[in-house]
Amino acid sequence: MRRWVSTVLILTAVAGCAAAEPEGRIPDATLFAAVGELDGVTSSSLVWQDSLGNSRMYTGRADVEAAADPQCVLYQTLGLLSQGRPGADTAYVSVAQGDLVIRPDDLAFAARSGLADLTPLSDTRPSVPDCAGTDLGVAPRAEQTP
Amino acid sequence: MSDGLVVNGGAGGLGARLQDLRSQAGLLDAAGNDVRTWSGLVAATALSPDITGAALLCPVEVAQVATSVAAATVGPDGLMIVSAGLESSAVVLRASATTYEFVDASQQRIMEALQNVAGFALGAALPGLVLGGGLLLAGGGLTALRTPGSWPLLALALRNTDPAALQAGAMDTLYDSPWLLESLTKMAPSMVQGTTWTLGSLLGGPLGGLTVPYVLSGGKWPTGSYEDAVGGLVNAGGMFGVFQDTGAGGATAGEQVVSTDHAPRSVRDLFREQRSLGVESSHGQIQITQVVGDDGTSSWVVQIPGTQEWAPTRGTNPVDLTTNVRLMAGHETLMESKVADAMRHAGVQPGDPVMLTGHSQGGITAAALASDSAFLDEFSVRSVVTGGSPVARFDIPDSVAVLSLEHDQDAVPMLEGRENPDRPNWVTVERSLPESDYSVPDPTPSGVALDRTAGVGDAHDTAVYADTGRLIDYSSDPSLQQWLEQQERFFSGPATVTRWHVTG
Repeated sequence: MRRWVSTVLILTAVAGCAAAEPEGRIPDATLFAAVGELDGVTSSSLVWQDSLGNSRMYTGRADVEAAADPQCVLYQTLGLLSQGRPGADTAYVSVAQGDLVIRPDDLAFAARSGLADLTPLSDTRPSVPDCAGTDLGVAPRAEQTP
Repeated sequence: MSDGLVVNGGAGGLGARLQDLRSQAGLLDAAGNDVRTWSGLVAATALSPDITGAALLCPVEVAQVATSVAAATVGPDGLMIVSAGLESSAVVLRASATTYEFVDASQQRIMEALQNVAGFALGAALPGLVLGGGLLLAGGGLTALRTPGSWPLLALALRNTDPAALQAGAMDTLYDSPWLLESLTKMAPSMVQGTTWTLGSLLGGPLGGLTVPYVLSGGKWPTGSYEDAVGGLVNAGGMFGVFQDTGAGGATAGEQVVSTDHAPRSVRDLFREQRSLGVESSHGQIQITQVVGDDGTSSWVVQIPGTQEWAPTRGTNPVDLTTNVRLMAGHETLMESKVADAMRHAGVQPGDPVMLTGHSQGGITAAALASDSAFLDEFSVRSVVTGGSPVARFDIPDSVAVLSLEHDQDAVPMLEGRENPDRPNWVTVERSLPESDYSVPDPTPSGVALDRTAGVGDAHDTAVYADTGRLIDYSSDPSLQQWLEQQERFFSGPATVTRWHVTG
């Protein structure tokens, strides 16, 4: 009998395996709002995606005005997201300035790696990394999405 | 192997060895024929006019010649014996190969029959277990409520019951026991039939147990056939308005040309692009890469995404659950026609070499297209690459080189309840993932480490399949090396990448 009950429990678990994962240190909504408030950002469409096959990733785009530094905005965006769900993939987060699209691999690896050490100011206030003095890498290139 | 990959099929596989056995048998046969011919020539020597003419003058010498010829032809070590030995060896080799295939096929049929019986029994018991468990819980709860002394215990039990932890525990069990996961997935089609039989019996007695499954499935249940089992499910769904493969045909151009960075140059890159197609902003798109060779001819890599919509009713995106069940039932799907249409729009010409690739449902669609004779009449499919896709039941012709990636802890490629065929032109790579949480390199150029949990969900992840692709790219396995050499034309040369919308 116990074997049957275990089997039923396992089947139930399989059926519900897509249950929501708890959010990270700072809730997604707070992080997305903080991205929208970065200097030069005109709009953003960031989402959390956790589907079977493409698990645990932040995706989407922030659009910036012509005067903004898109590399810096992306650096800060990734910094904010690093305070969210641990181990999340941010490879498909981008910043667009007109036709120019900047992706995470356009940033220097060292700059990205340093973001892992960011600590939130509080449970509801993420910290924003400072671009000044950080080598963000080579100049961005123009290309089409995705 | 040190890279943790287990390779079946291909140049080093059992199917190739059986083919080698048959080739050796052919050589032995030919040698036996040659030796028999020589034997005849030698025997003819004894009967030549010169020898027979000399019999009167030199009877002793001629007798010696006749004895020698007899010894050389029909003697214990003679040519006829050698010939017979060669030919009987050929028969034994062929018989060995045939016997092995027969035993293997019989074993598979027996295992499938056992799985069907076990699945039906488990499915038949499920409603009772659920009902019994519910009654037990309700009864226990009521008894406890009637006994004030047990209230603190009841409160403690309720407080300590964590459904998420129970679920996580069950998932861990499945991850740690791939055999259990495999057994459950293989039994799934007959489990559904068993459950329907019980529910029918509860509703209408023994007659209900027979008629309810029969009517629901459109006359397909009970069945031991996988395709009919899933086809019955499609029919049952149709009665409730689900699994309807509706929508407008044709594909439309999306972002016509995307960055050449998206051109896949390796197996890892194929799954990097599958991951890119799975990002929400790319949903409803397929990707087609045109690669131009040194001689100016074009080769094409067609990438088809995995399931994106899980609702059982069709919306605007056909990359959904309906396409999954219909593909597994062996039905033609709207998605297949959309892929073909996108290929026509992209400019794929008859005779141009085509590689079809996909993750999860994308791999099933690729395999279905590669098994479709009408599609093969129009397009020259040379290669299929699947990752986390149940494709064993598709009858892909030998002219198509298949590479299938499967993780031991991923339930999805097990859903067809059968191992992929071990054929010279079908390489299956299995990988057992780490027992504890692990990380894989981001397949995009950033290369940062992505954390993955030791769970069945992440075992199906495109980033993990990209990492397995990376191991394949660097593998020294002869089957994989030969497969990669054969596909060189798809991975090198100037490339143009386009994406096509299949929604609508």
